[in-house]
Amino acid sequence: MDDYVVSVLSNIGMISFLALSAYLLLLTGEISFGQQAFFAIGAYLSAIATAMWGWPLWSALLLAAAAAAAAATVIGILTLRLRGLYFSIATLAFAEMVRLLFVIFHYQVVIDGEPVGPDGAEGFRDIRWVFENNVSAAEYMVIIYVVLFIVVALFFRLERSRLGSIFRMLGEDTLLAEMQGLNVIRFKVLASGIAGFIAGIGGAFYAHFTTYLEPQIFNVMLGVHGLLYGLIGGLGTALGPLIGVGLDIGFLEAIRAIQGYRMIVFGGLVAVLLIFMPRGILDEERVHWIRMTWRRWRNAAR
Amino acid sequence: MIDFIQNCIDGVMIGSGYALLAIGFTIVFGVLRRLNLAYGPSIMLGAFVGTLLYVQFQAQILTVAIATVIGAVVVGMYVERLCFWAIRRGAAIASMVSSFAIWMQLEEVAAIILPERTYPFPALTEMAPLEIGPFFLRSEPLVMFVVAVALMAVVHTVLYRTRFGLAVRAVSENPSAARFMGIHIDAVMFWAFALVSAIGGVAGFLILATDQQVTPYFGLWVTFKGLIAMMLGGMGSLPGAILGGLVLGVVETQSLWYLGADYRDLSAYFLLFLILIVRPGGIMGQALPEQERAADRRV
Amino acid sequence: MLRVEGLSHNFGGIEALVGLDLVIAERDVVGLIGPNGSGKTTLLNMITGIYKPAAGRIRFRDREISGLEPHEIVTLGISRTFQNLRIYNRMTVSDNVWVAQHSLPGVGLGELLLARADNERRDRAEVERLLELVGLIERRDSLAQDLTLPDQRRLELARALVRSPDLLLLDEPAGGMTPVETGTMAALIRDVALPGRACVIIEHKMDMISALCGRICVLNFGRKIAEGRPDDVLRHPRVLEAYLGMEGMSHA
Repeated sequence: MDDYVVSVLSNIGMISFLALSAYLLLLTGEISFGQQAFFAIGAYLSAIATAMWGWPLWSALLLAAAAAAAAATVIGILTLRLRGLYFSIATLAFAEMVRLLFVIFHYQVVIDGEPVGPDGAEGFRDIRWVFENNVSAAEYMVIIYVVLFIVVALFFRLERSRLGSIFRMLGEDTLLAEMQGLNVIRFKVLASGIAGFIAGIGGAFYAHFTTYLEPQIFNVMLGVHGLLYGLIGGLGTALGPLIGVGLDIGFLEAIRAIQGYRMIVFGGLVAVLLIFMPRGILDEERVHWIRMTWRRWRNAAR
Repeated sequence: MIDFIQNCIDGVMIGSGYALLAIGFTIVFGVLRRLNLAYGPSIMLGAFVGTLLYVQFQAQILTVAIATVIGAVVVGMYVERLCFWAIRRGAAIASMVSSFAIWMQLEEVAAIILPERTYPFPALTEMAPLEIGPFFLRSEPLVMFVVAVALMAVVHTVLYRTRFGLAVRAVSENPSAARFMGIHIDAVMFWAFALVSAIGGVAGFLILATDQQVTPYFGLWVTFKGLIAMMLGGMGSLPGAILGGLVLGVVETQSLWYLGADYRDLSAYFLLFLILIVRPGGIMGQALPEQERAADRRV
Repeated sequence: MLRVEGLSHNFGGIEALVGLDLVIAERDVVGLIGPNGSGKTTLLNMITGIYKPAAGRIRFRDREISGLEPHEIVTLGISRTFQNLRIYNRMTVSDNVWVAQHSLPGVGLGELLLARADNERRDRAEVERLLELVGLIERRDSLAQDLTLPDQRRLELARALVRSPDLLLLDEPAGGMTPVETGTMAALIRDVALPGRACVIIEHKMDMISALCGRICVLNFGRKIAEGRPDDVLRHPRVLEAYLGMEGMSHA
């Protein structure tokens, strides 16, 4: 497998975490423009842990994801009582604040005579854990996908569980859910925390893949991309956002003819698709149809 | 103290531009109940047309202005047809998402057409700054302020003294009722969008002519300034949009002066975040959470 | 059981309810009628906590509930349906009823994630029982939005019955139905919903109200203008006057 393919696949894997993060909130009916902030927190904190404190990747990852989850929970508590659009803009404001805070954030330690650490807009170089531990690009990609697989499996488990259907109820009809005894805000905050955790994992992987971070990476565009993947791929299943990511970074990237025009094509594609499929490719109805068809086929086979 | 007042003066002048942008967002939100996130990029593309004429053909400032406005309007039409008109009325989220997608698309178009980091824009005026006592009024922002105020007056007239304006307000209040009164909703939305794009074009032109340059980040920048100003003042309120714009301008100038460039944008976002948490209705809005929740619930 | 005292509420300048008094005992079946805009749905919204009263009190089993949040009130044994029909359109029929069980007390976070098999079975069996009761068992796997209107209203009824509420509030349960469908719905309510609980029914269909309700309360412009047995109330001069010229009254 050549390097380019490994690189593209790794990208798909990492961005999928961001897409799943936005997807979870979308299920509860909330559009968050700010998941990139938790992606950023995951990236920076895990990088600080490995490059500056000498932690192994696993613990750094967990720390970073936990921190992102904590931040997401706090922000959720503050913002989720706001009506839809206000919430969305609040997440936008928060994410930009985080990005700008990283611009003025300087924290460096000297390792082997060289300063290492985030240096505001100058960035954070030499996040070298992967190289220092002889993990090849292909092996790293596998690690990303193993973790992604686990997360997606958990999502599938969530779908069948009460918690998952609670999240969907919130998205379908918040008032009705409340009338059925659900403390809406509490569950949305829970979703926010989990979403933050997932974004944090993605960010941690991202930091160690690119080995270089700067605040500019974690801008609104990144967050909007994350949202778009779920909205295009469909909100009926966790595979939806993955399809969205695959469509953009995988499929469109593969078409050499449109190199450099990818966003134009993707943007146009999304706009046109939304005219015919306003809830994405794999929306709830389609997923339901697939499920029923599968069941009928299985029963007929008996 | 002198500095503080000077900053307020500067802030108000710059804020008038923000106010225009906020007015654009507000009208679209009022009529369509959705945010047009492709607003910034469409204005930017209009500006690129303007700068193209300026660089290639040494066009006069007025020509550049007109070109910017026309460019913004044309792109605005594209956005309106694709994202708002083509998508069924009920699918509000789909419209907004579509406008993000087109936002991305337009950003890339801009990056491709004009790949340099910055392009020159004609200066608004060559006059020396005005001096009033200890205060300086720089001439470009001053001209921008005067034109912006004039434009606001025009918009006010259109909205409150013409039949078209009446239709726009009717649709904003209650689309179904408006339809029953014979108002052609699609046409109103189309023309309101055109108006908003034109306002945006003028605002964009004024801001860029003050800075004398345009960069590919302008689209995003416009979107943010307009949104922040609108939310500060209170979403859906025109006087709020104006007030929000002015407040934003002042806050920015003050924080730039006292805290430095790094903190300028940070303060703006922080202020927005704070307002949303404490008083989502904005400065002009009412802080009535229950009414808001109840109004949401058409039970 | 339910005691409404001097309840008032307004929206901006509009008085939705003015000094309303109402008492509902266990197992009462009370009809609530009145022209459109008379405050019937507002009353239900206030009982279920969507609006907080401007004045007056609501007591349920001697407990003040006027300040509570909707999700708290529902756990006390009050359940409702909606005038405009609210169901989870993109979920299946059986899931619509299943999700209504979520808020039963004792369902903690662990429960939510790792449904224990025997609890699952018990819950699913309950769903089946309710669907059977309202006659929707055949359509259990259809998406709620694919049902006919009468079936959707039955679904809403089944969902409202999940918690075996002691007080059931029905807001135009036969809204949008033909006379035949209305009759079927009325029979269903009588057989399935009414036994063992108190019920408030808002309707415009007088035959249905008279058949089901022991008592009728009439509202007009937010005030109670009559209350009593169906025969008496429906002949009351003020009631007739309120309805004269209005489309609200139909002998469906």
